[in-house]
This record gives sequence, structure tokens and C-alpha cells, in this order.
Amino acid sequence: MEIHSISIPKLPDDVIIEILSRLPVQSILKFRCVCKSWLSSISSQKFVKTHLKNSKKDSDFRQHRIMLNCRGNFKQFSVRSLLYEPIIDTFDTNDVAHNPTKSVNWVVGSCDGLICVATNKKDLILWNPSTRIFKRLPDFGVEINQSGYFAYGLGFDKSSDDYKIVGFFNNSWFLFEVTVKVYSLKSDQWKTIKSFEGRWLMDDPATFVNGKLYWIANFELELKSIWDIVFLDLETEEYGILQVPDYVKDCLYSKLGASGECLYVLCNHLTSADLWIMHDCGIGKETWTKMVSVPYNDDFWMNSYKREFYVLKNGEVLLHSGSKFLIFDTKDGSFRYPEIRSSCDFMAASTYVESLVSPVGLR
Amino acid sequence: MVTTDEKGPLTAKKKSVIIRSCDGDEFLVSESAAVLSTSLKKILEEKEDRLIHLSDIDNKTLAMVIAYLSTHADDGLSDDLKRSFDQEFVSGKEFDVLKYLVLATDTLQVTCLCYTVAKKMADIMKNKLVEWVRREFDIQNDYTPEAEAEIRRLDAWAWDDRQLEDD
Repeated sequence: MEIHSISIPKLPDDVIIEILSRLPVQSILKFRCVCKSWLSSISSQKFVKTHLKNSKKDSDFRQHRIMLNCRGNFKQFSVRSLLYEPIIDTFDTNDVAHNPTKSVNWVVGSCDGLICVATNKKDLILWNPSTRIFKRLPDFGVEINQSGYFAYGLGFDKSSDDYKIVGFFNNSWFLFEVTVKVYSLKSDQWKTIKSFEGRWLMDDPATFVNGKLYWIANFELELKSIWDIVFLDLETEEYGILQVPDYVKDCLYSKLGASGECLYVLCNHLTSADLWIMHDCGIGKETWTKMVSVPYNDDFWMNSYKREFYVLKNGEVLLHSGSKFLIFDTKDGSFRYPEIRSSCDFMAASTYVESLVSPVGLR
Repeated sequence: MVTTDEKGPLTAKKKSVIIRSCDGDEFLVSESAAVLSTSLKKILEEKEDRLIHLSDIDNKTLAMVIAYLSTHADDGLSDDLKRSFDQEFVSGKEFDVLKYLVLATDTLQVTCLCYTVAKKMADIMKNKLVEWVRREFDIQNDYTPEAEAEIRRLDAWAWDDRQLEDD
């Protein structure tokens, strides 16, 4: 039986791109061998960017993923499975952790599907876990001694269409002896930039939002001290300070996060944690709105939330506490605890989106 | 030309256009629904004629697109309801039907529906074999067997489907 009265003409190229740019990376890698013209479309920088854009907006969170760091072993799974499945399977993804028992691997940045991993503090690897391609970065030329202090961040500079890694290094207790280095993926080189003095950057990795890297910064090397937020604009390489109002920062422990191109601060108090969202109103003017106050649950011996990952449209907030994830429903105040199969006591978790962005340049 | 009087709230609701498919079926559509298609909007701005003939969209596909446009033009429906309508709209549809739909949305420039259909097509094809994809997209394999084997070798892990999540 004929269903349609006209035969299907070939789909135009732009329609094919609309479809292909919504596929998971693994399928795209397979479909490169469909024909030469697909290979050429898929390999173009334009396609990489279109796919990244779609990946970021993926409303069912299949292409948003979480990377667990299990004592140097990396495991990942989709945010979708975390939100909608009672038990989540993880996938081992250990391209970069060849010798997890002998070295300490730590995720020090995540941006556009690229993850920056530091091995033993200073050997940096830029890695795309979706394409499984990685690259060892050249040495940044600063010694880090045992008590040395360092902080990293990874972000994208739109003006130069370049990914940049920033490192703060300090081997002494003097704030004016901080060395700041910036690595550019395009030039494959580190350079020293002006240092930022007078604050300790406390959280690592930095949070990247809209061309800027953000760190919580203290005046002293103690957790409960006066803090602000320091940012570095990756285009101008200029620093700035976000003055955080007292009613926001009056807490025991705070952590930055990003969701949907917005900067969040999670502030842990004695009995609950407040999640604040910052609205940038332009030229040095910000407003802070309290999104939600999440009570601590008795199930957790550790009364603090480490990080906020996602603030969803339906009013759910995805948080990380200890070695567990929890989903707090702001509408009825209920908690859900997704269980991760064959999980370890993970030390840290990071989010990333599936992308084709290459850590080594054009393929 | 549309005069200012005709744009009054009461008459605007009633105003409609007739859209004819390539196989001759005619559909009465409110103007508010029709203008959600960028192409139809342009046609309506340019000519007085209330009858639009689409020479490359068949009646079954056109009926689906119009159902979509009418739902999205309904101010009485919440965004949540429209979102679940969109999901319902593409669910269970065969790949062939989606091909006609995605072409129609491309012709009529209904961007939102085009994205929804493209996403659904991607979901269907993500776990399929390369041979299935070639057949469905009517593509001739222009690789030599050696060249194809080389590409397959490049990311051998990608061919392990256990890594891909099902729905």
C-alpha cells in the first residue's frame, strides 16, 4: 500500500546536518564510513560547533555526562540515567589513566566536552572522553614542591576561538609570589601572565561561564574566612572581583557551580545549604537570588553538599554529597537517591557534554 | 492588503487561509497557525491570495504539519502541554514518515518542528548499522573496501554497541 503520494526525494545537506548533529559522538564516529561526503561534513569545524551547541541544549540529558574519579580510575554515565533510572550503570573510560595505582589523577577543568586531567599535580592531559582522544600538554616550567599551592581552570576564549588552561602556582606562603600561566591550545604553548595578588584561590577546578573563569577567593588560607569571587577574563586576561553580599557569603563552606550558562554559589550552613544564582546585569553590577534552600538529610553523616550540578526546569536540583548523588525536588521538598552500580567511593565528580571538539587540533 | 481594521482581536481569530497539498486536498488553517511557518508567513505578507498551493508536500504530511502548527498557535495551551504534544507527535512514527515530515518542515521553515523531527530521527538511527543508514538515506558507498576498513580501524571501540545507551 502506498502511504504517500510523492516519492521521497533525497534529503538536502542542511537537513542531514540537522539530523547528524543530534547523534551521540559514538554514532557519528561510526557513520563517518557511510560515504565520503558524510565524512567530510562530520569532520568540519562547523559541524563540530553545531554538534556542541545541540549537545549543550540536549533537553533529555543523554549527551550530558558525569565523570567519576574513583581513586584515579574514571567511570562515566549520562545525566539522563541519573535522573530517570533507579540504578545506573557506569562505563569505564580509562584512556588517560594508564597507571592509576602509581599516580594521582585529578580533573582540573571541563569545558565543551574537553576535560583537563592533572597527574601528580603537574602533568596535564587534555582529553575528550567522548572521542577518546587526548594529548599531553607541554611542561609549564614551574616547580611545585610538596606544600606548594596550585589551582587550575579550563575555558574557551571566543575572541580567538581557542581553549585555554590557566594555572596558579605558589611555593611559598607569600601571596605576591604567585605565578600565573596560560596555555593556549592553538599555539600549544604556555605563557606567563600578570599575577593576581591579595587572595587565595580556594576552589579547584575553576568554574567556567561565558568567557570567564571563576574561583572562590579567600583573604587567608582558612576555610572560614572572608571570601569573594575572583574571575579571569580569558579574552583580555584581566582579573576582576565579584563582591559577594554578606547575606550570601555568611556560611561555613561555599562552592561555585554552573548550570545553563549561569553562575551558582552553593553555601553550606549548619542545617541546610542555600543555592544562590548570580545574574550579571553588566558593568560591575550583579544581583543574587536564592534559588532554594536544601535541608541536610539524616542519611548523610557529612553535613554538607559538595556541589550543585544541574538546576532543572522542572524544579529539581542535582547535588553531590560525600560519595553519593541526590536529587532534591524544590516543589515538594523530597529527595531521591539514584544508586550507581559497581560504583566506588568516588573522590570527585565532574560534568561534561559529549562533543567532537579535538584536544589535538584538526583531525 | 490587510488593512488595520482587519487586525482587530475578534476578526484576527477568525481569519484563515486555505492550504492545498500537492495531491489536491485543501486544509483550512487559522492565520495565526499558518504564520508559525516562516515560508507561509512570507507568502501571506506578499500576496492577498488566501489560497496557498504547496507543490511538494502531500496531504498526509501536510495534515501532520498543520496539526502541529494549530496546537502551537493555541494560546490556551501551556508550554508544558505543547512540549508533551511535541514528544507524542513524533513518537512511534516510522523513519519514512519522519523523512517526509523533516522535508516539509524544511520547505515550510518550521524550525522548532524541524529540530524535534531531526532529534527523533537521530534517536532512531543512533544504534543502526552503517548499511541501514545508507539504505534509508539512499546513499551509494563510495569508499573502496580498504578505505572503509581503515576508517573502521580508526575508532574500533565505537563499533562496540554496548557503550550506547538504549531508550
